[in-house]
Order: sequence, then structure tokens, then C-alpha cells
Amino acid sequence: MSEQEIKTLDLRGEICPYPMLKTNEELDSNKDLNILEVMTDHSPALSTIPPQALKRGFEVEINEINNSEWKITLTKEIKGEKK
Amino acid sequence: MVIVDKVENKNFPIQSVIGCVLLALVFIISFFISRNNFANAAIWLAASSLGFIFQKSRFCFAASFRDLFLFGSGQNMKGVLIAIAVSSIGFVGILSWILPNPLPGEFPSAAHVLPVGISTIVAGTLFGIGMVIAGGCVSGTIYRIAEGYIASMVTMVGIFIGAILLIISWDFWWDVFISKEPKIFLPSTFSIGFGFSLVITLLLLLLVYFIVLYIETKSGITNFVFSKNNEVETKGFYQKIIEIINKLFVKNWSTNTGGLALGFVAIIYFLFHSPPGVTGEIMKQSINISESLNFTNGPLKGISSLSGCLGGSIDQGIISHTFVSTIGVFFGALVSALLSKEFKIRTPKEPKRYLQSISGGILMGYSATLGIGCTIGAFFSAVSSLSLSGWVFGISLALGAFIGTKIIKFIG
Repeated sequence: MSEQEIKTLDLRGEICPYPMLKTNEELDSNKDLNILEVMTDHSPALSTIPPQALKRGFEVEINEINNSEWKITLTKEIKGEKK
Repeated sequence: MVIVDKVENKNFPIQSVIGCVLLALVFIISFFISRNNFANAAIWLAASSLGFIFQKSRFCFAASFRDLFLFGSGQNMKGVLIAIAVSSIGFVGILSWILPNPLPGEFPSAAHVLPVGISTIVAGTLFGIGMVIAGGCVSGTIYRIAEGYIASMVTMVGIFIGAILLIISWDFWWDVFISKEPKIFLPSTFSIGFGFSLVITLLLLLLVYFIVLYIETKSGITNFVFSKNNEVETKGFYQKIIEIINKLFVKNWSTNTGGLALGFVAIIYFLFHSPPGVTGEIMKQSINISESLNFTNGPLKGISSLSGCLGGSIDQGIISHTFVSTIGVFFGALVSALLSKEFKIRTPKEPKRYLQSISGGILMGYSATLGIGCTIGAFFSAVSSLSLSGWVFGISLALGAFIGTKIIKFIG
């Protein structure tokens, strides 16, 4: 695996279904990606992005960085270390 | 694993304070409405609850159809199915109480039994496309306006334009299609009675539920649980009370809880007046605008023979049934958003989103007027009213949503 690749997607202002659509596209197209940070202010994304990310083998951490602004950190699970 | 971490905000909770004031205002307004019309006051409270439920559980009819096709996720559709199951059980009680032994073809006039035919299929399909392009149906647009979404305000303008366009072409639709289409009420049209109609409705809902489960399994979606970063602690009595208040008024609900609550509120609607709908006031105002611009004159043809969100349910005066139904949803959603501190002015960055919002809105306004209701009035309330039109509208919504997902993927 290549070294840690971190990318940030700023999807603030986007509404359904684009936050999840663009996150999925990013996860699917960039195979070397280890950490993807998604910024969103669309609350439905908090319940739709996690299942999609888990399906693709990413762990999810959601942090509220401001009122109605969240940073969703998706981290690739390393094989063998899966809980 | 999903970890959620909520940062404590140290700023003065201005949103919570305004939220509490508006919550009190909901009850004060209902008191004043009740002095003139008790039923309207009840509907005002029910509509406010509806808006509150929608915002709290992020209930979204558009997502319920779209996400099945787009992500293989049935989360929202399950909430919708629960809502319809609960309300149809309650509705059967009310329907059989109003009209215990309906003659063949007869049905309670307040029930959302709408003409079923080509107009239903066209309306459902166009609405399905519109809601996916705009990113929310009519009720979704109303509660997103309350959350501060500029795009949804643009969608609302589109809905009015669409409604006016249909009002101008109403005579064509009425003469060629709607007037010739039958209103099929399952219990009486096929003389199968209330009990059997309910069983058929519930079995069909179960069938849809299995289809949803199948789609989810095929897409390999994982169920997940939220784990929080705080430790288990022993709580005192007051802490427990505060926790309950937080759960009800501040934190988000699951879509299943939302569906359950929606089903019960729909029954309350019907007990006091008629099944829920949110587009009535939009249609009434669109007719008024059309008349003042001389696009139409006099009432629409055949309108008095129709129930649903148009026609029979439109009454005069400002604080009418339709007014409390539509504005109540907005008000309830606003209270909910403020209490959750989720109110925020959100502007799309890409110009093409405005174009999407307005064109999705026009499609929805046009089709909601043609279908005599939106996802609530012509789908949810119609299926629960044991009307065949609800199922046809629902299947057409699915078709439209499928086409819609192709379009939004293309737009990108």
C-alpha cells in the first residue's frame, strides 16, 4: 500500500443526494485513498454516508465542527486489524 | 464502526431560546384559531407536529424512492412503509365508522379516494422525476425552507409556477382524462369490505418491504450502530428528565420512529377533518394568482367532485383548513430545527443547482395539481384511505424517481 493518502472534500452547500453521491464516487475512483475527510452542512448525509463507507471498508468518525457543520472522517480499515 | 462526537458549543443558545418561544406560540395560535374553528385548531397542531416529525427524523419521501435506486438503501422507505401501515389501520376504523356499509362505488367524501388512470400515472411519474431533481418533495421543500435552505425557496417558486401552468391547462386534463377516470375505493368498488381491504393493503406493504430488503441485501449495505465517545455514568433523576427532553426535542429521531409518529398524526388529522395533505394552500394561492392574472376565470371544472388536496377541501377565508395544514408544517419544522440548533442559511455553490431546484419545483407543482396531491395527499393518504389511486401514484413515483436518478447522475 502506498503511503497515507489524505483527501478533503468540501461538500458544504450541497443537498441530497450529492453529498453521498460525491463521497461514493471519490471512494470508488481513488483506490489508494486511506483517509477521506468530508465537510457537510446537510444533516441527512450523516445517516446516509456511514453505511456506504462501511460497505467499502471504511471506518467512520463524525465530528460537529460548528452549528450544523460536520466533518466526517472515513478511514480505511487495515486488513487483519478489523474489529 | 461509527463514532459520533458532538462538540459542546459555548455560545449563547439563541436558536434554542427562539425555538422555545415559537413552540409556545404554536399553542397560543391554536388557542386563537380554536375560538373560531375547533377542527382547524386541531389540524394546526397536527400539522405543526408533522413538520416537527419531518425535521426531527429527516423524513424524506424523495430519498425513500431515490436511495433504493441510487444506493440500494431502504432506510427511508422502511419509515414510509411503517407510516402507511399505522395510518391504514387507524383509517379503516374511521372509514368504517363514517360509512359502515358502503354501497358499491360509494366512499366517505373526506377520504383521499382520487380518480385513477392516465392522469395518475403521468402525475406520479413527473412528480417522481421532479422530487429527485429538486432533492426533496413538496413537504421536504417546506421543512427545508424552515431549516434555511435557499435552494428549497427556489424550488417553492418553481412549485407555484408549475401549479399555475397546470391550472391553465386544467380544462384539457379534466375533459380528456380526469372526468372519465373512476375513483376506486377497495372496500366498496369490489365489494370486499373493510377488513379484507386492510389485509390486502398490509400484505402489499409487506411485499414492498421484502423487495426493499432484497435490494438492500443485494447491494451489500451494512447496518450500523452509532457509538458515542462518552462513558457510561450513573444519572440522577433530573439528569434522566433532561435526557428524555433532549431525546424528544433536540436529538434526531430515527426514520422508523418518524414513520410511526407520522402514522399516528395522520389518524389525528382524519379524526378532526380529513387525511393529511400539504399542497392545499399552494394550490389555493396558485388558483388565486391565476385568476388575478386572468389566466382562468371562475372555479376549475369539476373541482367540487374531487377530494384530496384540491377541490372539496378548499375553503374560503385566510385561516382556512389548507392554510393551517401547509403553514403548520413550516412552523413545526422551524421549531424543530431551532431546538436542534440546525437552522442555518445554506446556499448552493454551483449555479446549476438553482436550475435543478426551479425545474424540479415546476415539475412537482404541475404534477401535484394534476394528481390532486403530492407524496402525502395522493400517495400516503390515498393508500391509507384504501384507494387504488394511491398505489398507482406510488408505483409511478418509483418509475419517476428511477428516471430522476439517471438525470441527476448525468448532471453530476
